[in-house]
Amino acid sequence: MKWKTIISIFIISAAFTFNAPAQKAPDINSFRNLFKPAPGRPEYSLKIDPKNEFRLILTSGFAFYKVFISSQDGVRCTFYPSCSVYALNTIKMNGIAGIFDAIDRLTRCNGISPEKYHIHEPTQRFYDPVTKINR
Amino acid sequence: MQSHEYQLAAAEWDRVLFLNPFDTMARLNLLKSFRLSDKPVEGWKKLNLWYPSAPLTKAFSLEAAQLALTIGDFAAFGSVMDRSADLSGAEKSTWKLGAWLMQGDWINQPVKSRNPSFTVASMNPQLLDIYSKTKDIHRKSPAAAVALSCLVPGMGKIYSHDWKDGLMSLLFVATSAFQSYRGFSKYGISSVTGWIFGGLATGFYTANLFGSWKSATLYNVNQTDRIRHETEGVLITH
Repeated sequence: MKWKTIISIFIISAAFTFNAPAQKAPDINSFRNLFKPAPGRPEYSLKIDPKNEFRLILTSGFAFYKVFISSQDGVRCTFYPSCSVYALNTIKMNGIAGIFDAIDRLTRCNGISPEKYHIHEPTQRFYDPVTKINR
Repeated sequence: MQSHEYQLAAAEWDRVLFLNPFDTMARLNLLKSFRLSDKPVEGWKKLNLWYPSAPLTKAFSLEAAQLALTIGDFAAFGSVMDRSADLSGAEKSTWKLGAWLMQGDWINQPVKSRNPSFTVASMNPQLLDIYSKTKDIHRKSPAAAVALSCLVPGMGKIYSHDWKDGLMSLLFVATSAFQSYRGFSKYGISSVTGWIFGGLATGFYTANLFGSWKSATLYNVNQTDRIRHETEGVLITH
């Protein structure tokens, strides 16, 4: 048996071992809700919405990005709410026009125009909220 | 009220009024406490409860005017001016000028004919100074911004004084369009790079049009907000 196979079997079997958790459920529960989220945190949901294909693609892409990509990095966006949350919310609020609003936000996400924005105190980032587009 | 605890002060003045419902000083202080504790609507309701249609004294007129302007109800402000018996013509003119500046409709008028419908005879030099500033503010047309960005990406933002964002838009559109052009010229119509960057360039270009429209609109809003805040600083007392 090759060593790669041995290591793979070891990792897979370790993943299904229930007898040696680092912390037991009561330990974890005792620390749950210890810290309240900061006020004004982004309002978004990672729930995948299968109402139509567009929403399905958008919410799945957003959830994938938030869980697998964004979570692996620190705060990099110069704005609050971040560009991904802004994109989700503006498309929810403004429909197709929100797509262009989101792309425009990406081109503005560079921090070279600090005079244009107020500072969002809890996050210390530029405050650029989603607004309803008047048609 | 001296310690700026206006919410607590409102509760106290309410208690005083419970003991003596016709104490005008307590009524005035209650209205002021409501206004300064970010509850001007509560104050406005109380005022209308006490004086539904009667003429207002000078002190109540001034407080009611501030309440109406804080709420942003300019029709209510007009009714206060009509009901204020003790305010002089110059004082009324000062307040009306303040309301005109705060309402912000002046930005939609051409600069040369940007005058209120009443005679400006304000005695307040600060307010007249703010009024003169409105003559220097030029409205940015969102349609013109979009048209400019159609011709040169980012130009509409530069027109709206967002020159850095304009340059970034130009950079994004130009770079992606050039990459698309390179792809197509090298591999022809089947170039994957060409199609990908072509799509990106189209997205950035359309977003640039939208961003120009938004930039011009925000410029106008920011200018009216600036004048509104300066006027509030002159008219609204703390």
